[in-house]
Amino acid sequence: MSRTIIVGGGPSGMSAAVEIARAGGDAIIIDSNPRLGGQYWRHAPVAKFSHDGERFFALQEEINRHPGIEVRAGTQVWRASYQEGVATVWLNDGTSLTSETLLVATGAYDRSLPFPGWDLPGSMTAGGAQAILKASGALLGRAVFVAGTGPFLLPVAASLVEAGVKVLGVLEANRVNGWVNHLGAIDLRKMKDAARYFKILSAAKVPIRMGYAIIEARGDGRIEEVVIAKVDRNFTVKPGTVEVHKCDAIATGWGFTPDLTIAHSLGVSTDVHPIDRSVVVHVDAFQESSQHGIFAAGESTGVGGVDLALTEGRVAGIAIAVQRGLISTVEAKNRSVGLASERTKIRKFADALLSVYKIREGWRSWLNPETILCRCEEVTFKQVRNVVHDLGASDVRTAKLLSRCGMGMCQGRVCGRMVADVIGAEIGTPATDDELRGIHNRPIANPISLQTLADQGQ
Amino acid sequence: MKTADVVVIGAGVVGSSCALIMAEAGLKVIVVDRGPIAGGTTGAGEGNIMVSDKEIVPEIELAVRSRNAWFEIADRIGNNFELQAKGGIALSRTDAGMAGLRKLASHQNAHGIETIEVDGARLRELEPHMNPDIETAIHYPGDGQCQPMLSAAYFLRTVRHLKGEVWQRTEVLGFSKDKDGSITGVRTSKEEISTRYVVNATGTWAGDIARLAGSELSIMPRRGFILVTTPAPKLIHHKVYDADYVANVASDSPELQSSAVVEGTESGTILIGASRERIGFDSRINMAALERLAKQAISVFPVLSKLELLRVYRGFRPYSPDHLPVIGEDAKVKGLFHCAGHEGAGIGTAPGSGELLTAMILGKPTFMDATPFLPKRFQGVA
Amino acid sequence: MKIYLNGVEVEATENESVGTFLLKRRQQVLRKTRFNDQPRGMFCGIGVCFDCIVTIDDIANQRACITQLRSGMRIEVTS
Ligand SMILES: Cc1cc2nc3c(=O)[nH]c(=O)nc-3n(C[C@H](O)[C@H](O)[C@H](O)COP(=O)(O)OP(=O)(O)OC[C@H]3O[C@@H](n4cnc5c(N)ncnc54)[C@H](O)[C@@H]3O)c2cc1C
Ligand SMILES: Cc1cc2nc3c(=O)[nH]c(=O)nc-3n(C[C@H](O)[C@H](O)[C@H](O)COP(=O)(O)OP(=O)(O)OC[C@H]3O[C@@H](n4cnc5c(N)ncnc54)[C@H](O)[C@@H]3O)c2cc1C
Ligand code: FES
Repeated sequence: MSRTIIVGGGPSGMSAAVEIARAGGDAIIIDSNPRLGGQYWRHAPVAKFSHDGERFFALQEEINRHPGIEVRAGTQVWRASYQEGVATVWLNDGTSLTSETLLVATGAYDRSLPFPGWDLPGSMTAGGAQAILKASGALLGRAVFVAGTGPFLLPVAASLVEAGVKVLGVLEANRVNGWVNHLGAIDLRKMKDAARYFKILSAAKVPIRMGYAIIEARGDGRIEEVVIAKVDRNFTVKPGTVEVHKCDAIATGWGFTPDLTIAHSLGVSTDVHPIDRSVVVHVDAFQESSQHGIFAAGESTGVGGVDLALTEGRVAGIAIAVQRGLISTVEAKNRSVGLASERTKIRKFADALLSVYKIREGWRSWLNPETILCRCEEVTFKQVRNVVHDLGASDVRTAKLLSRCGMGMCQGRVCGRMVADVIGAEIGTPATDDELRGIHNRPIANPISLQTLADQGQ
Repeated sequence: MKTADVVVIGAGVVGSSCALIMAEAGLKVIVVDRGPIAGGTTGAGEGNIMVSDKEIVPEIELAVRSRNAWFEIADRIGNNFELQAKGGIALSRTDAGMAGLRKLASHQNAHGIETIEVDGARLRELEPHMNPDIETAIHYPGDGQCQPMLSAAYFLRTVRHLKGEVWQRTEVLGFSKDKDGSITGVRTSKEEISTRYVVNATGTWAGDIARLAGSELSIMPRRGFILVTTPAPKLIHHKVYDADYVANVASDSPELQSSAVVEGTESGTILIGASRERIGFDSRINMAALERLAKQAISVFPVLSKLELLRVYRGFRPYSPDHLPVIGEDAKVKGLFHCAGHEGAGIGTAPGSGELLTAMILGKPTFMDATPFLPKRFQGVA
Repeated sequence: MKIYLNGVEVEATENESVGTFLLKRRQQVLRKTRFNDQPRGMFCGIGVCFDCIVTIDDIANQRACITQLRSGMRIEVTS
């Protein structure tokens, strides 16, 4: 039996690899990042973590120590397939791997909402601002706003403050009362984290404004000022609350989108999450998908944060060890003590957060006809409306193909969901579950050199 | 009950061309499609309006007329569909291949297609990035290109402006006929439409509609992949293909065939087509097909080795047993007209097909002898 | 180590992405868009959005944010 393929070396992929190693198995982790750690543990090579480095080093140390685990960092999976019980992945170094067991641990990326000027240089996602800071200490700007929705805005703002950036405000579009308590409901670590972020932000006198959003960014070739406003519970701008502020960058985040590209190529069944309608891999209690031997863990099964990713990774790793005959089910039970209840507990909490920090429909009122929806192909709101109302596009796919929205290099990763919502609203019926699934259909997951492709046939 | 002069089934490029030309002729048209507009093969086609790959005389005549009709339509309704007369280049790097191309060119020339043999120097002017080992080729100034989905959408928009209707997501359930067996209506999942004429423009699925009407028609799918590169500044100016492509179209072998047809698009991406396989509706990606296309394209344009593959799309070309389209009235069901089976040329030849069909329905003279396209050639009627 | 930025030799350190290296040099704008000639810089920072694409060693459309600097690398940006 060939070694297990793990696509994604973030918390879930790492913890699964460790469990497989402990069971005496072998695996190969593939990750496009130059180093293990995924989005959460993004770090410079000489690692310096602001906090929570211990867990990373423990996992990394065990992975490095075990001869059965190979890490192929800096390598992308550009295509994946599953046929007759065997998974194949093609890597951008021109090689390919096959195995009867594969773990999808591809994580998530920031969900974005468009507004006039969101394409200006200086506008980044919240996760992106965090990522470049963690990886190399790069700063997106000197005087910035952090805006959007979700508990993730706080650590981002706190890291920026610690790095010496002037954070002019944290704008949370939802009105969240007593959310520290909310976080406290799960465990002490979250509680402590949140308290720490608040302390950093209040020491720096960073205003945290609930029910506010960035509705426009302006500038000549880069961000010079933003328009912010108070929004109601539906995210519609409250008249008379508009303010204009100077700044040189913004970080916006609206939660995360699970990255289903590889999962979709493997043909696994997916669910549409009842709360935020994100598409997630459907897994059983052992993190196994509808395809035998294909497992999924971490954000690809639903956004839940690092602790859930670690827990699901362990469950998946142990289940893979059982499926490969490395350990007995009895042994698996011993190794899994507490994991299932932990997973349930965090999942419940994650769902509670999703409901609180939901994206409300009124955001579409921030758009003007010239607002870019598809950054890659520079398709405007007006053009999308036009293919619906003038050309008769009556579904997401047709509107996309006629307007080129989502046809660019990111293959709809950034705009796919948001455009589906816009089109749904224009047509008058929300995108169907299958239309939302279709957004993740990217048979070519990452661009691949034509030369590499041509050489493969030799 | 709704009434229409003609019901067109299928909102692909063929159905929408028929509908446009009939609506312009003053007929009241209702287009019915079980899916969205241009959601079939038209949404997977490359948009080549080619005269250069046609060999058989009736096909040449249809292609030449269609090519001109494309530009006339653009003049009438506005060119909102990226129509361009970019020209094609056919090449071969073997003496035998070139001899074949020359022979074909002189045959085509005799039937109204402009062909120019070009030498290496001229070739480099036309395509600066072409592999220097290619020393001669045939230039076809008449080849054009369009964006097929936009074309269909704009044709149908005009149909709506001419008081026609487009019913999307409407399934055809059956046909009503009179005592003589002539069509009197179309039963749909929305409501019945009273009409004397039905155009079956359902491409790969045309056999199903024929069967539903009590007749038969053999149209089969032939899978093809197209590679789309990441966007690049304009590198390739014509549609460039090698002689194998022409050989492929007429070939009868089911296994994978491919040869590079390379062209740039308005949006900056470069399209590399087209493989041909007859394996039914199997939508899985065939790696061998992708590898071959990439290799062949790079051999014609070495600069492509510096570009990346961004997307792959695949479609199923509708083909008939003799590889000619089926255009005309059904031999068994009066009032049922087929316009299907255009294989890899349905975009290019859609307007001419629409003109033929409109003339047939109106009982007017056709611009060419359409006998070779009539459905009766497969329907056991002499 | 040395790299070439628009043909000019510049000093760079290892273990840095092209994107963060350029940002630290105050090169926020990495390219102009194809249709409207608008400036763009890094957006997602993790290889998802393709806004940060630059030409690296003659290969167009490479994501600056996930490409690690290598000695002798030639980077072309438009600003
Ligand atoms: C930009 C960003 C920053 C974040 N920062 C924080 C933070 O500071 N604190 C926090 O608590 N949470 C953060 N998160 C949330 C994060 O999603 C989770 O905390 C956690 O990292 C999830 O773990 P995971 O294992 O599911 O996936 P991830 O950590 O997302 O790991 C998935 C990995 O898979 C790789 N991958 C995906 N597809 C492919 C492919 N085709 N080929 C090769 N590799 C592939 C990715 O490169 C990535 O390294 C961040 C999220 C994002 C998007
Ligand atoms: C990879 C590839 C590349 C190609 N490149 C070119 C090219 O460069 N140039 C060129 O000229 N041609 C090209 N072609 C061929 C061209 O795409 C087709 O010949 C053409 O699109 C056929 O159009 P159509 O309208 O007949 O069929 P379709 O576009 O398939 O339309 C048929 C319509 O009928 C509808 N339908 C089917 N059954 C029913 C029913 N029972 N009730 C209601 N509606 C129904 C479908 O939903 C569909 O919308 C290519 C094809 C492929 C696959
Ligand atoms: S910044 Fe998004 S891909 Fe590089």
